[in-house]
Amino acid sequence: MKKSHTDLTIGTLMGLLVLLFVVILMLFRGQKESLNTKFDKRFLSMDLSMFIDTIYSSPNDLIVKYPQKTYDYSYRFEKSRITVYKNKEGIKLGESFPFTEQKDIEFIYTTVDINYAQDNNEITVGGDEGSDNIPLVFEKTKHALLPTSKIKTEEFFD
Amino acid sequence: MNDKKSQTYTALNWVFIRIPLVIIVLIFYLMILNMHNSTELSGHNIENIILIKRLLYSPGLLAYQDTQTGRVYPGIIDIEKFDTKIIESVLLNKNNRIAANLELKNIKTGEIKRIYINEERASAWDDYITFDEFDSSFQKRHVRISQNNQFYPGTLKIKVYVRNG
Repeated sequence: MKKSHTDLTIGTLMGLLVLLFVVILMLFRGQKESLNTKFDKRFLSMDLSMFIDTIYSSPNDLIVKYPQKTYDYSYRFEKSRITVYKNKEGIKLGESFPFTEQKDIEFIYTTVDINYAQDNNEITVGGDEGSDNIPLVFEKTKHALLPTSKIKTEEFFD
Repeated sequence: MNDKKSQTYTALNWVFIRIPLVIIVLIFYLMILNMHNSTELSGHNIENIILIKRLLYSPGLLAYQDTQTGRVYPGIIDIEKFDTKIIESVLLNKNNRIAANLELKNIKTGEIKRIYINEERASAWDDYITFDEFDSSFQKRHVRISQNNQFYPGTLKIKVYVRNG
């Protein structure tokens, strides 16, 4: 009688342990997934591709701000492809999407990386949404299209 | 004897019911999580529409540009630019993602001119437009045609194909 009682207790305990393990595993995986930025990066790269195509269709010179919340990301423009990535994760985990260049308007290949932060002097550029810094701007002239960022530098000297 | 039966029952219960159930729940959970990431993004033909606008508005492509003032007239097609070689040399289709066929008809003379972007693929992709991998759009527009410093009424048919991703 006593032995079967002990077996039942061990069985229940094992079941509870397995349940606990599974729940912790699921919570851990769920939390990891909630921090996953793959979808955001894919969306931004595709949206930027269409944005660049639209800028190309403009007959005139223009300077246009990319109207998405882009403070957390960096952008590499090269060989008719945009790669969006997080500095912390590195470019290898970035997502890219192609766009169509035009011969008469040269696309200037560059990397727009505004996530730099200097801890000692507490200079943060990318993460501050309230500032006047514009993370991603496109300047189109008759012969060139340049992606860049506009940073309000005078704030650093105040 | 009863203890042995009970132990066998417990072991079988774990092997055939509890552990497989846990594995099934975990697999479903991971599948749901992965669905979040694998949601396909689609431009819903916006890319095609942008490309059509680009062909019509960009002075480097089809739009007529006044040589003296530099002003661009998006509703007027410059017949000298309406050429497959010129369009393909200006539009750097490095990724081979886009294809198009364009037909320009001079209403006054009845003359029809056809040009292509990526001709081979334009004909091939026409059969694949029902697949999700391809988007296509068709537009017919009334335009003016600039030819030898004269302007003629015309129609422009544009069919654009874009391969997703």
